[in-house]
Amino acid sequence: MAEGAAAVEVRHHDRFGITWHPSIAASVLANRDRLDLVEVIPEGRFLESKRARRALRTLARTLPVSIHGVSLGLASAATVEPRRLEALARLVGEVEPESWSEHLAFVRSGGIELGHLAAPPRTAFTVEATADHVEAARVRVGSYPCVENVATPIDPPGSDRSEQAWLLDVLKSSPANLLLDLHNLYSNGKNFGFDPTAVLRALPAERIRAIHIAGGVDVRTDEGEVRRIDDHLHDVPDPVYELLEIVGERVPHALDVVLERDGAFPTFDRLLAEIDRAREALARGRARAGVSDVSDVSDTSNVSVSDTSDTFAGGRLARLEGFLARLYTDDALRARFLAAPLAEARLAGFAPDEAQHIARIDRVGLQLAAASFTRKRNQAARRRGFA
Amino acid sequence: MPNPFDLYGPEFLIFYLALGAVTLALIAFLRRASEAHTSTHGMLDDYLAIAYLRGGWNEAVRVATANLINRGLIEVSADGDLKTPDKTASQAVEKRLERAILQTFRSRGDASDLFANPALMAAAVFECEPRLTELGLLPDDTRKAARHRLWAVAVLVLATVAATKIAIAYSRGRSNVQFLIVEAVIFAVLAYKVAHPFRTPAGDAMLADARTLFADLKHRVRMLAPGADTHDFALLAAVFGMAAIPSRFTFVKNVFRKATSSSSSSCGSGCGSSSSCGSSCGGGGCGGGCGGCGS
Repeated sequence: MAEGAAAVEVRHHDRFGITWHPSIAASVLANRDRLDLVEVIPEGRFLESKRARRALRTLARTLPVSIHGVSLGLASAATVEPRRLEALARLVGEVEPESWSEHLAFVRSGGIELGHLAAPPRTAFTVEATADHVEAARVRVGSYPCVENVATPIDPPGSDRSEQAWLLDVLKSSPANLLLDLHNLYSNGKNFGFDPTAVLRALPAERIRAIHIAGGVDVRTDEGEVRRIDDHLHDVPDPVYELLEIVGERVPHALDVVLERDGAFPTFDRLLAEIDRAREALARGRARAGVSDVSDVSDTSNVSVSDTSDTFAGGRLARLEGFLARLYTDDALRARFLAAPLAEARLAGFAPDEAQHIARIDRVGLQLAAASFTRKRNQAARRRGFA
Repeated sequence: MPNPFDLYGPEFLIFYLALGAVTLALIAFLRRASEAHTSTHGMLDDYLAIAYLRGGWNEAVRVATANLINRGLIEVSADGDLKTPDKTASQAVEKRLERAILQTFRSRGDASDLFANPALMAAAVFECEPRLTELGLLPDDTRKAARHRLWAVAVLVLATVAATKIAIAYSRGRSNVQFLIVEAVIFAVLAYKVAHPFRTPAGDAMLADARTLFADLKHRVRMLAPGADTHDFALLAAVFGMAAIPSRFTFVKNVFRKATSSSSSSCGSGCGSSSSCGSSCGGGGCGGGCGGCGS
């Protein structure tokens, strides 16, 4: 650990952990002295098998476990399926994890499973719907989840506010605290031209309860644009550690910091080194907070806003989500749409102003999002085949 | 209903067989009902404790030795002898048992020393048993006493019935009671096994949970390379036994087959005596371990 970080008095009891994955399970347990917790994605066997849930409970009694769901779709315009909430409630009840979290995303619509997390249209309606879904989850599961900001390669169509404004609105309208994914924030900032540090400084520090750090990759598209993809397959980039320093500077209470890695695993020592770097970065921020006058910055002037119209209100958003789900997953529809967006949107039943709005879609982002969802669905299918 | 003591010899033997079976079932039920089925704390971060829980002290020694060989801290000669090449290697390990094994082979030694060395047994027991007992995964003295009482009552019932029948038989001028005596002795031994399994139900559950949680290790076994992935190797051996280790880890066969054939107290004592996994063999607990050294 760096000298500066080591000099910081340990008073926050921040905890550092990693995502549970079978490929690194043995190393995680063998390095228990350097890891404080693990985060477990329950989708798959932990949600489906009683025996697996019991095994997970035993793991949770060996070291602190946080459950990290990816399939509720808390930020969807559509209601969260009760059977999914029940399954999660059963899991949480049986495993007794320290906490649980979910993403601010929609994952299915109109009967189509995206296979991963899609950023919702950022509107007042999805803010309200998210608050309702979080409350429903609280009622079923017995505790509030921490809600996580998601990365997106596409600027969500139908949005009438920035990501920052939407996140702030969600936090205002719901008691759920924030699991702040710094790489998601960094990626979105890079993709859509906003300063992630400004967003970070605008978020209410007292609501940030946990942190994700991860890696991703810059993809150059055929159109020559570079977009950042949050793939959890690469090392954590330097800007994420810089954001973590700011977190340390702003957040006065203890935090759980989790390194997310889903594959292409390097040696475990390298993963531990990343966690050590995170420890140092947070400690540096903590140290700075002791000597600097840190104030919240609520200025949103440099935050991009995709649209300020109120085109999609109420139930029309559910229809938009359904159309987006088809665009993300149906190659033929996407090709027709990209060739004639206005006509295809009208054909899908949208009103002229709505169709105009959809036609202005982020075309590069759409193709990247579609490719990303296809990859995730294929991975999931392979996992099911393997199991 | 006829008085069972009036039954003829073969009929009474069948009656006694049924009585014995019911007694065994009752012992198993009462023992399980009186012991905790879950532990409030886990121990999945301790591969030696898992190995010990699965197969007793000699399984812990076996897995620890295999792990040290795989890590390169013990060398295996062509004839299967073991030696610690680096005299300071014991400083690189944290576990007391691992240190004891490294010290044992500071001078070249036969693999059979592993299971005939009381110091290693003591190190394994000291390393693992207190924690496992404290967690309720192995029976403590109170639990052992309760099990013993249960067994004693069962034996009393079985012996009383057998003795009564023998007395009646002699009073009626018959002396062909040998089969009944043999049957009674067999049931007394079986009752001991059923009343005194190595683990508690919580221990069985913990081991089953470990097998579920780390099932993926068995799928990835073909990717394990000798000398690399040492944590995976240790956990795989601890949870599933040496039988789960692929054959390209040639030292497993060289060392542990030799240890088995050289020492009567190696695998045999592990699965055969109540001091280690004892009757847990019946529950599958010892299968991997003995399969590992014996195959």
